[in-house]
Amino acid sequence: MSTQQWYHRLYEKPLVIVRFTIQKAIQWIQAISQIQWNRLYLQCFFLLLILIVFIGGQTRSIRGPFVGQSIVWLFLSISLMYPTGYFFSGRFAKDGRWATFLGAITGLFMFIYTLLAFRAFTLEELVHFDQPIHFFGSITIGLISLWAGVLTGQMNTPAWMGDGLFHQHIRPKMKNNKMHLIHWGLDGEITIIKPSKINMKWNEQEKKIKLLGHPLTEYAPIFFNQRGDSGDLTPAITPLTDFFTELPPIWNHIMSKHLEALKRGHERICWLHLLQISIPYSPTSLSYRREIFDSQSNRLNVVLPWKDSLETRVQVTWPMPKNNWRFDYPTNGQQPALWTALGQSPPKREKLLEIEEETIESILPRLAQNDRTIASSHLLRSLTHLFLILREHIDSGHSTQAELCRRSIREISQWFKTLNTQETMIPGDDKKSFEITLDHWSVWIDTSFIQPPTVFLRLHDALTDLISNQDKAEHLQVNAVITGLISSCTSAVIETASQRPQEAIGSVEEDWSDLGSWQDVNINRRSTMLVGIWKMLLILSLYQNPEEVAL
Amino acid sequence: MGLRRNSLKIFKEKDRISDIEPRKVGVLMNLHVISRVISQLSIRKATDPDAEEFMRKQFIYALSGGRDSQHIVAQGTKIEVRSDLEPDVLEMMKDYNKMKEDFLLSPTPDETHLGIIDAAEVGCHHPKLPSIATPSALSLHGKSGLCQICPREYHSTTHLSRGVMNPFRCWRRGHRSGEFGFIYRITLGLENRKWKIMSNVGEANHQVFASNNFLAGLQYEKNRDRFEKPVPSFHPLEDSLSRQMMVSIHINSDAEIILDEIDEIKTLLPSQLLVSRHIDLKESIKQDGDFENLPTQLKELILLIHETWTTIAPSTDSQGIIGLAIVQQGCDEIADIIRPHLRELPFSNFLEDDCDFDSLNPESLKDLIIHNSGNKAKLAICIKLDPIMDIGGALHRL
Repeated sequence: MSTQQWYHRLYEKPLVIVRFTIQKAIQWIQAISQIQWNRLYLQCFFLLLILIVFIGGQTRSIRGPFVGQSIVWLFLSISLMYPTGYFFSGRFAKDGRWATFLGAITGLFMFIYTLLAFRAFTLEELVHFDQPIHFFGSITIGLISLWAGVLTGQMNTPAWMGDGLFHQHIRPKMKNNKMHLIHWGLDGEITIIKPSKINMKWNEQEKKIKLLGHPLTEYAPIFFNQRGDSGDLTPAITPLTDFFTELPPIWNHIMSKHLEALKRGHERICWLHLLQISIPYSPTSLSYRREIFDSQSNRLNVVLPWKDSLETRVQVTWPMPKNNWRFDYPTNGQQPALWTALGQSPPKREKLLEIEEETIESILPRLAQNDRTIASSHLLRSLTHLFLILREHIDSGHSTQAELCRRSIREISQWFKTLNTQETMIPGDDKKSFEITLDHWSVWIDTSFIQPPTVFLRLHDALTDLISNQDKAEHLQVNAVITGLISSCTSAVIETASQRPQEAIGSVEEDWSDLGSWQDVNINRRSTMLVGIWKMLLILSLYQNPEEVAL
Repeated sequence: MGLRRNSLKIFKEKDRISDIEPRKVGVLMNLHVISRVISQLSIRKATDPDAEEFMRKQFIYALSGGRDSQHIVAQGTKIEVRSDLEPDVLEMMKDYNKMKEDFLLSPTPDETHLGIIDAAEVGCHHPKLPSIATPSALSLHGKSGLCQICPREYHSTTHLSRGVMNPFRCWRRGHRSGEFGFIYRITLGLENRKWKIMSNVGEANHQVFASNNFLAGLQYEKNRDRFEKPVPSFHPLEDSLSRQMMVSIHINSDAEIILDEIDEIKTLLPSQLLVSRHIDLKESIKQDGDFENLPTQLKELILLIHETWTTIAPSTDSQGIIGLAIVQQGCDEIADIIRPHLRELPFSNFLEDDCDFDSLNPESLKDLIIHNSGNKAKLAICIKLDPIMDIGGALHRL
């Protein structure tokens, strides 16, 4: 063995031990930080402190710590420690590190005063003679003031008290009913939290309730039925709301922020389920009636912290959001919908979320393998925005428009799946591509409903000009594919337009059912034209900023 | 509009009755594909810049559910009428014609029906147009339409050396938009002492030159395996050459070089008072049948192209081949052999004077009609196909 190797082995083992120790210490500190003091325990602990101090400090046979107390020191200690306790009340009560520290100091003082009460020693022996005895008394007053501040601070706010009520009254019910919380993070990662791990913390500065460092609005209640390596997941907001309503109204008022946050979390997850799961993996489901959509199941990957595996595949059944997108997010028409729902700030150019890349790898694997992830993601974003607006029209109640939108969703969903084998049409990651925002889709869709042939022609011209301007040999295949798209859209519309129901008005064969077939031809024609418009616009956005196309 | 013969049936008939190598059928099938691409393109693109507005209106009309602009009782179509109703029908037809004339004389800027659009509006420059009262754009169509005479009228104004690729100015044949013109070069060569259409190894023997949009359509059809062997390669065509539809048969043979060299020796020997028995090689080449066979094969191919284009061209009014020219350099003997056979073709009145290769105008045409294989001698037969198209495109065929 060489000298170097010998030295390496010499310090390798201690290094491993040190690393292990540090890691365990960090884990222990993190675990401690989750410890919270129950309000009742805090009050009892404070009462005990007072009793012991006054008993121990008032023993007549010794000079007490409060004899000869300087008014200045008294004033200083109270004015310093009380506000500290008041403003950091939440920290002292909620953060286990601070709480442990305070408890340890207090415990030490209580121990000393207990010994004093039993005359185990005198204060003169405890305190150095050069320092006044009342200094110890000042510290004691300061500690009591600190406690007084803690007990009168944030702990008295309803939301803070709501944490305690939640833990005392709601969490046990959740545990009994196997109700968990689901966390859908900003990065799209989904984690399931057991009821025993639910420790709410009201943050007075941010005015938010937090759980495991995340706002409570990122969580929603669920029923989670684990079966081996998989499980079922369904929303539980209604039963949870029932738990709240069973409690006295004053408690409901105190916990109102908790319930409101969880309701908002549920709505948020409705949107995320739609945007991150339904639209990419089963886009046709957006054309279903609401009650049918609500009963559909999808599969998704979740993190179960109590399991060793990284992710577990579970089945989720989640309803559609109650409102439409522009009602819930009225000012976010220029940003990608998924980013808005996740709570991410607007993306920089070409930046993709990891979850978006994973989605493309899953639904369009061939495009992802051929370095077309960015353009594919833009296409998926544009498609998502289109479907959100179309769904809005479906829910609007206008029967013809709703039917047209339904057909559009179905046709575009089928067509989108075929793009996986058309890597020629999708630009590579080294080329610039665009996405169509919600606001822009809204304008296109409204205009298309009013003047579909004009819009169709506009897009047809734009794509034809694009082909004409791409005159290099390397563009031949792309041009061919785009030509094929234009031809198929045009032929489909014209062939549908040339169909005629039996024109038998006034003839002996007149039949009232012909009116229905006439309307059906009309809807077929309009639907085919609209589908052609959506397809052409989606493909055009891969090469050219669609906002540059005049409507 | 007359009915079209089934083009596939034509190919099968030809396959059965004559000695045709598979590649000949492939070339004809490829012409069919080219014609289909033109038809598809004509739905959306105008043949003439002045026709843009008309095409857009018609397109919107078609998208909106309207019928095609030529849907009318076709001229010459017989209508079965009960005898007691004949006077009423005749009266009705009179009224109908009067109504049509009135519409023709009135400005109808938003209408797209060809029956009420003046022929002059579509760029018609038929020599007899001024003498016809109220000619409509619809009257240009059909076998008895005015467009039948134009190729003969304007044939004399065209020659490959004059730079006038297309003498027409109308919407049907003018193609001033440059979107529908093409040059399709095929190569004939010797294989086992027989003249055949060469394969396209190296993608140099068979090429199609066209506009971007046209090429995109061709590539789309190629991706769907619609082309037959020899599958041509595609290249862009410059604007100055994009108004005509042309097939160029490049005749490529080493015998050209041999003949060329023999010619040189033949001129040198007599001046030196020398004789060589190898001079007879030229005659033996002839007697071996190489160049005897060529004119026959060429004539058959050209005839097939004529018949094919007459049948499958974008318009049923197509007259097939409306121009034929020999372009050569240093191949006088071969040209002399070929020319009489070309004169036997039914459209021989369209045969132009020979054009020297160096006189081709524009110069860029040289690389398109003859593959630059390094041979000093160059020979190609340029076939101008009738570029006629129906105004409004092929909407009525969908």
